[in-house]
Amino acid sequence: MDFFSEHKKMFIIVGVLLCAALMAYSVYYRKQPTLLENALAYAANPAQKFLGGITGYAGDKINFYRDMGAAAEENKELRAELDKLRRENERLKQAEAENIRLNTLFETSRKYSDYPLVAVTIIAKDPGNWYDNFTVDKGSRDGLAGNMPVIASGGLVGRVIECGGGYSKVRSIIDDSMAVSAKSVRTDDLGIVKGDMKLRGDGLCRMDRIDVHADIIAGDEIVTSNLGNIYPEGIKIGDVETIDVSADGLTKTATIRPVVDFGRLETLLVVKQNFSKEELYKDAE
Amino acid sequence: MRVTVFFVLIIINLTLQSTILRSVSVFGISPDTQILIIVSYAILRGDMEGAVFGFFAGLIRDMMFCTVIGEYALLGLLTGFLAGKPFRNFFRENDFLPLFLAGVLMIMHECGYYFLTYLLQGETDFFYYFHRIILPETAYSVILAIPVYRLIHFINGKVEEREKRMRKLF
Repeated sequence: MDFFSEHKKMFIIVGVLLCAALMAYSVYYRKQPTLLENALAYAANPAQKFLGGITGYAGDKINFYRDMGAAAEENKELRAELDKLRRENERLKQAEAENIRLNTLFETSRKYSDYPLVAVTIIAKDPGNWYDNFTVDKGSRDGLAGNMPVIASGGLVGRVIECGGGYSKVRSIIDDSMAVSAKSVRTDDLGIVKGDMKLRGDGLCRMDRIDVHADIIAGDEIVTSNLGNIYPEGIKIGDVETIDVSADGLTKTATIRPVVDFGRLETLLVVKQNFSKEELYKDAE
Repeated sequence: MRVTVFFVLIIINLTLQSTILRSVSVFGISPDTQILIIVSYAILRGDMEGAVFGFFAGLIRDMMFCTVIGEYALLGLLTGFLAGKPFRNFFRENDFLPLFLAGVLMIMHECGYYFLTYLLQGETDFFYYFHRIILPETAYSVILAIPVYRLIHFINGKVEEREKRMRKLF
């Protein structure tokens, strides 16, 4: 230990430099998790699955007893709503039939519902409070790969950022480091949906760089645009809550309420298709 | 022996932190027990060992949950090193020191993390993040500081006893 205490400063400096080198290396070169990381995940995942199961089970039980009283009243309301929805469903079926007809007519049936989907379950969340990542229970062995879009309950959740053998990491669109090219369905105005820590607490996110002349209003539906390199066109993101001209007066900024409830995610669907245009070009060559 | 015990402890802690502790979050904030463990270990074993422990604990966390390797390793190393500084001047049974160091170093650790990630992304509103994340997280974690310290003290005591016996044997 004398050697250590004599060269204490050297060791700390070497450690700091080593960390910096690791960070630089992982930013530029590390595209896939290394063998060591895979081994770690292999050791930790079963326990995470088990504990995640326990918390899920306990939460379900607690909610069950809490909701018992309100259940009867809710049942009545739900019946009324069911009737309403049945009627609406009838109407939508007709609309869908018409839509299919028109789609085939214009050959634009390029929709994400045509792509193979894989159901995955969240087994762990990021232990820190800064980012919104999950670990899910399927990985490259099940055919998943980085940059695959992830959806749930009809809306965009995020994308796969990394794939190990039996696990993958998913980052959600309300995370600060994510940006999704999006457009409004009604007016076709483009913008970029970004996560924002200040809105994440309320389950909202932000849409930036909307043209200042765009006539997007509250309630407009926002979907992914065709300009993105990761997401296919037409996946619903959410609805506009408020819209303002941004501080510089050159663009508009909207707050979006995502269709996905990010607080209660459990099962997700991964679209098993890489939409990266670079890859498409590579294939073409 | 020591390495194995504390390696397993880090893994168990990260597993708990990513599953159970995330589901007892208050206002979306959950405690960060890993920093508490690094601080406790460094108080018991001194600055160099604390730095090494912090480095590897952070590295494991980076590998399990992050995309950039080295952020938590760097912060863990510095946290462990600083927490081990008053090693020679205090009794181990003192409860106030871990409480105080956990609070101060937690704020430093999280400010460092803000600097490495959010600030470099261009989010300059430091005070918002300070009172929205760093302060509540510290407050929540400090409640756990003494139980975690006692636990690490207990485990470390057992390990040291065993090490002593091994040394007598040979």
